Amino acid sequence: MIGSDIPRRAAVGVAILVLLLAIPVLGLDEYWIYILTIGFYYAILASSWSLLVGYVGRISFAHVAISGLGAYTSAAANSALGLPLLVSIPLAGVVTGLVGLAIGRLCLRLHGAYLGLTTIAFSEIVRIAFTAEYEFTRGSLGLPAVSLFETTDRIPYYYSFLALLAACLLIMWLVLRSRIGLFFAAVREDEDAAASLGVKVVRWKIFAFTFSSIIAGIAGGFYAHFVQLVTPSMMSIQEMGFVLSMAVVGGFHNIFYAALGGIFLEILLEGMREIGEWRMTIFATAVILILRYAPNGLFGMLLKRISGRRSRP
Amino acid sequence: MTAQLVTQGIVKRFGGLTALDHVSIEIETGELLGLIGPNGSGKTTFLNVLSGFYRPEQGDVRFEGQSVVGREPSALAAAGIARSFQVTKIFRRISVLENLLVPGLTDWSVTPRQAAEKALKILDGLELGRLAAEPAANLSGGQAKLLEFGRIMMLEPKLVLLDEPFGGVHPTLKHLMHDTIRDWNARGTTIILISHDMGSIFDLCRRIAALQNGKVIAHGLPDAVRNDPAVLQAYLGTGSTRAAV
Amino acid sequence: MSGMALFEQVINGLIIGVFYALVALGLSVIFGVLKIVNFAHGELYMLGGFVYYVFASELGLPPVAAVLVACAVLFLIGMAVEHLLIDPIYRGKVERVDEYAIMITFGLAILLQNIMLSIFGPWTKRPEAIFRGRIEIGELIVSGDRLAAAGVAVVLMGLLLYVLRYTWTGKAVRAVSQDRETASVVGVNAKLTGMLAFGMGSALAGAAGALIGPVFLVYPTMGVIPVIKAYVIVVLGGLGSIPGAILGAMILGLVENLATVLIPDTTRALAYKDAYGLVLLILVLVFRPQGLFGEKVRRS
Repeated sequence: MIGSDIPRRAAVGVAILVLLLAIPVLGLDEYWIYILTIGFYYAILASSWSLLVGYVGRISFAHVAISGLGAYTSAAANSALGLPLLVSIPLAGVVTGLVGLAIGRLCLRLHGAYLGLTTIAFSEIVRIAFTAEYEFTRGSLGLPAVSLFETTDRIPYYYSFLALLAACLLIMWLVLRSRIGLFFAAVREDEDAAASLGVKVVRWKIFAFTFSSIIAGIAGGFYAHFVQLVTPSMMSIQEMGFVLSMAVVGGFHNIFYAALGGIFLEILLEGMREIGEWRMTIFATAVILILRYAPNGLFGMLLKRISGRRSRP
Repeated sequence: MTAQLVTQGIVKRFGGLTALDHVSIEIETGELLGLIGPNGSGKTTFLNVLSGFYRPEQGDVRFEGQSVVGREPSALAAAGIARSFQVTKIFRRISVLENLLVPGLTDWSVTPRQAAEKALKILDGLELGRLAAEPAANLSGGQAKLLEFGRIMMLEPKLVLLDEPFGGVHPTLKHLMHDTIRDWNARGTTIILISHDMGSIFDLCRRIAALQNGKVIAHGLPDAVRNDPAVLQAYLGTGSTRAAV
Repeated sequence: MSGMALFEQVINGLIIGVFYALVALGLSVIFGVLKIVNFAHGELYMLGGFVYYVFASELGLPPVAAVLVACAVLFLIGMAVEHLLIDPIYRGKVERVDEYAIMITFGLAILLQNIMLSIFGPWTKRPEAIFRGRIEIGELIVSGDRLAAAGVAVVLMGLLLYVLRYTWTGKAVRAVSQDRETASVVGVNAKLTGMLAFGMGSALAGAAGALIGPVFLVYPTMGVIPVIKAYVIVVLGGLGSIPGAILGAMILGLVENLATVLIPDTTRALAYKDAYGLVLLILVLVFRPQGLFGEKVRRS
């Protein structure tokens, strides 16, 4: 999409990327490298969620359930069917892509809150089912998953997830700046007008769900072999609230801001460990305040200040 | 020779209400038809059926010989039918130019550069050229209506359906809209125009059709329709307490 | 399956249905007046449970009084929420209204859950019951506390219906539900009505939480599933339809209890108990979004 302050924003983005690449080399504590890796995972979820909700305007609360499905798929395909990770992780993306396609298809005529409700219902059904079917999933105990790398070193995971995040952002960005991104915006702004102008609304709505689900599923697949245990709690409403907070705080009308929100909030979550339970309370308050007073998110607001010009959401 | 647009016995019901009651009408290529009638007579419903937003319970709509009943609005747009909306539906949070790029790029063989060039030309013609980079939300009501025209022009449609385009528009802009409509029609585009603005209707239209309670009560040359007793009764009523339009 | 046991389940289903109806009515009122889906409704119900617990079990108030306190507190909280978070929509301070309403109430839900988690911890509390003991009618045994709680719930619903039908406030609520602008034009203070509606809806949810607390225990995440069920009911009955909400509530209560006894694999049937309503919700939203009683919404 057209924008006159892109060069400045791109420079900031490159600077952040260089910083992230350099961090392990600069000798950061192993623990924080681990936390940042988790942050990258959430960044992928937050940005792919913002694509669906911010760009296309399709509210979904099923995102973490879909990611969880991907995690379970890869873990199970690998341990039960003996498929190598190189196959099971893409398979996770295929499975979640199909699920996303089904949801997208089913929810075509649903909008706003009805769509939100349906996706919450779906998310809870999945969580309940995976908790109940003990024989297949080991319920709340969790399904063990083989580790991605042989080594216990944190650094390979760090770079893998960073690469995955960069790749996902790149793919999403390419789609969004193409005419598909324009069609997404048209669907979001006014479906009827878009249809009357020849935009294949049905196709793009389904595509949006499928696309974001594939990304969530692959991220989930990677995640399974990182934390090495997949539990139904990763599909809970609390988790969804977490991802939503990250996207909203970062700025959910922009995939890059949402991704930054993911990393930022994960760091904050760990940094505030002493406060314990009150962390989520503070985050939730932040979400409410930002929705009310700075709806473009923190990073949207920040970059507006830095660049000084009128920037579009 | 068959007419470009033929509707036969269109019936559209909403619960107990019959909005369109066996509407059969034929429209020739290049026609500039005015569609009038009191509020609730079914004009917008008819437009919605023609543009694929409503599916009629009965009847057929044939465009250039092909039946188009039940097809999606986007398919009808590709077939050459375009429309505007009574309450403007511009894409508010993208730019004026991008509003035109949306229809322009639905054809994948068109490159973004080609679409942008065409769009800027159209915007200049509508005196919106200098606003190309503005968010469409910043436009005035009249400018928004013109923007809808611009989007339609990007499609180069064969049939254009206009639903109350002059509502609340400043006289100078209305003038520009009249010129644009005449220009379209001069190039061979068929136009169906719904309006309560009788001045514009009689100024622009070569033929007029009148609806009342979902039925076509008159269809012909402007003078004939304006003097038709059925039309006069529909608008003014006789002996009943119906208020004049 | 003996006839008596089946009948017991039916009674249980109906009793649960009454509680669901209370929650659903509150939701219906809020949606009707403010036209927003309140994702925090379950947490308002949860807060009611906790307020009741604090006043009945920790401060020793008589149970019925504690229920009324819960109603009052939640009424005030509801009004505050409407004023601070929802009203900006009507003052034109919010750009993207649909998104905003959904996400801010979702955010509120997460906030309330976590505040209570922080204060009380994740453990369940068992507050004082309104009435202890069992009631035996022949061979039929019904737990007294559930019946008493259901009784109070029915009284409260009756009160709401009376208010809506016969008082000025109730008429204002109905007017604003139908057409906010017109109601304003004829002198109804839409903003105040909105606040009152949210207050009333919250009070009902709080009452439900207070009444159910002794039966199903009080804990910070107790609202997550019930609110989805409340939506199942409201959607099933048709948004804006009060008889629909009541009927939908009864249906859901029955379906849940009967499914657990009629499905052969009992442990599994029980584990999925909460899922039946969810499946029902998806089916309704996808195949008959107007519900049993609602009207089909026209396009364009």
